[in-house]
Amino acid sequence: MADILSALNMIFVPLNLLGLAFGVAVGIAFGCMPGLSVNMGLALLFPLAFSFQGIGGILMLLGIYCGAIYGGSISAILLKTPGTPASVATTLDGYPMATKLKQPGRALGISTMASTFGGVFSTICLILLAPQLAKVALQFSKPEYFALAIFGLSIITSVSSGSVVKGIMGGLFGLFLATVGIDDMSGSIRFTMDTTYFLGGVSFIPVLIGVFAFAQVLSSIEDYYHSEQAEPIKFVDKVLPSWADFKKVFVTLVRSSTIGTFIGCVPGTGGDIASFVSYDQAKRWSKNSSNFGNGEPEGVAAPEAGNNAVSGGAFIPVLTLGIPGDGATAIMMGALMVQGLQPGPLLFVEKAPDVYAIFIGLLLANLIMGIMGFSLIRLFAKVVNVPVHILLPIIVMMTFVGTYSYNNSMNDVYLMVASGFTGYFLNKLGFSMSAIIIGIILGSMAEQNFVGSLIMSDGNFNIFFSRPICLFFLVAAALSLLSPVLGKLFKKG
Amino acid sequence: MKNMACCNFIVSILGMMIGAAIMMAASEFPLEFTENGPGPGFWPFALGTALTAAAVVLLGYTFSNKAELSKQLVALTLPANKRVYVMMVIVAVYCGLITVLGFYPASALLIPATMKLMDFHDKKIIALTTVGTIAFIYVIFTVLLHTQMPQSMFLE
Repeated sequence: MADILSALNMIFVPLNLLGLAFGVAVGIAFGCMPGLSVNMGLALLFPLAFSFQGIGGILMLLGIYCGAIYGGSISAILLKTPGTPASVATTLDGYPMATKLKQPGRALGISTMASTFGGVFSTICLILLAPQLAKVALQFSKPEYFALAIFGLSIITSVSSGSVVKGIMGGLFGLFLATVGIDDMSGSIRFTMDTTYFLGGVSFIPVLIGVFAFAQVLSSIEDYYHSEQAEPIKFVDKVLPSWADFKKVFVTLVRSSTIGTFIGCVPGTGGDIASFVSYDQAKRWSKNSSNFGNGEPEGVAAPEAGNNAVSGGAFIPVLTLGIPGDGATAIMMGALMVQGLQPGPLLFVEKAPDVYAIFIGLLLANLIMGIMGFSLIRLFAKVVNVPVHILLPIIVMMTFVGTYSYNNSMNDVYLMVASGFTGYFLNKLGFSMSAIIIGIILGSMAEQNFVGSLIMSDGNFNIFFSRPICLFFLVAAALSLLSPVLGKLFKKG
Repeated sequence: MKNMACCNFIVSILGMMIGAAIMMAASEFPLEFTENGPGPGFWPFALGTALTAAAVVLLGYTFSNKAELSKQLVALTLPANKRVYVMMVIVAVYCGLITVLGFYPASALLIPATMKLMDFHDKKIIALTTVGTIAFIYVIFTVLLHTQMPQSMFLE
């Protein structure tokens, strides 16, 4: 109880609440503008988060994370152009409801209600499940943590990338980047190219902004060459959903939120998978399945509840095991680490008030998102109209300012630009940027626990295969990496 | 347009080269086991080996699926790509200009250059966007957050 009171004291500071609300608003704006992503929003505002004292910056990032997932539905409904991949399924019924049925306000209202429901539902699951899982994880030792890091990396590379081998290469390169600088175990200075700049390691923030924001800007410039901005729906009618609509979609909301929370827990999946699975299940169980695709309310509610429910679910492995599920949670985990909060079961013991502050912050972020969604939707609908030729130069400037302001270092800017250029080409070649970033994040954990395990066993590698939990994660990692080959074999069989 | 088979071939070779370079660099550190565990070169050496192995697997995969991968096109030389390459040059010049002119004057050139690159020529909107963005950055970062933006080398 004392921990919860401490957490409330941390959150209910005017500046922190303002930061949370600002984060939600910026997140919605980023989500609703096609071409800007959740990762980009988080990466760009990452340096700004450290201007806040204590947990304030984390709250702002939580706001961006929740807001951006929801924001994607606005352009999906009004433009038939999803702001984020997680909102692709929302276009299937959201856009027909807005155009064919001429009820854009109703579509936005149902999506806002579903997003809020999904977010709150998954946060409650997080609050209930995470401490229990953390208790189990407290029994883990170095070999289990090493196996967990490998498992997290393997499942992400196998799911998030178009090619598993390229995903592995990206992840390995990320792990290598994490070795640059002073080795924590031996004190050796490794791969710094005789510069003092790399003594503290490859700076995470410039690489993050480079691969997630700057590379995305370059891709958007390429996409803009042929594209024409769609004419948006200008008039948005009443957005508060009716009681009849709420009753109609309630079961769908619960089902989709459960699906989204479960999918969110699995590293390497995400909102896009959750929204399609939720949509598919809603169609399968609906009495009006034939109306799906023509503006069916359940078809709007299901993907939005599903993709927003991912947010709470995705925090379960991050907070309890220190395993980020995707690029966005990797960024969030990076932010926690920079703030001195090392995700993992010990966090629940050593920094319990901070954990509760994150729980309450996520809950508040979803509620603020709902309030903003219902009250400011007409404003956000206008944000959708901002032309790309104005937006992109501003984003370019923000990548530079955000990178520079973190350390007041031009070397960081050069690193960001180099990462952005490289990220642009790697994206085109089918590499997963998330795998590289997660490699950097998990690199230190993997190496330290690998070395620590071998010290425990006097150099005997059997330690990784003689402990059941460790073996389970290593086998699961191997299976996830071999899944494409195994899948082909099963098909042939 | 290049095909994915050709790109994969280049990526495999680069991957093998980077992997080998990591192994060479790591071998300059102790690799053997002591009472303090494996030497500081062991883990990076293992990563370099794994990267090289993954690159070899990619090469093998590319050869065995050459026909299928040749049909996948990768846009690298289209006019849209050339626009991106021009943007890269603009950004590289901007990085240099920040040192020479300082952050704000260089940014006052970058924003119009980017908008013109995107075939937008309305001078009024370009001027408004430039002034608005720079004013926003000045207020938030310089005034409120006290960030000292890079100054011209002639002023330092």
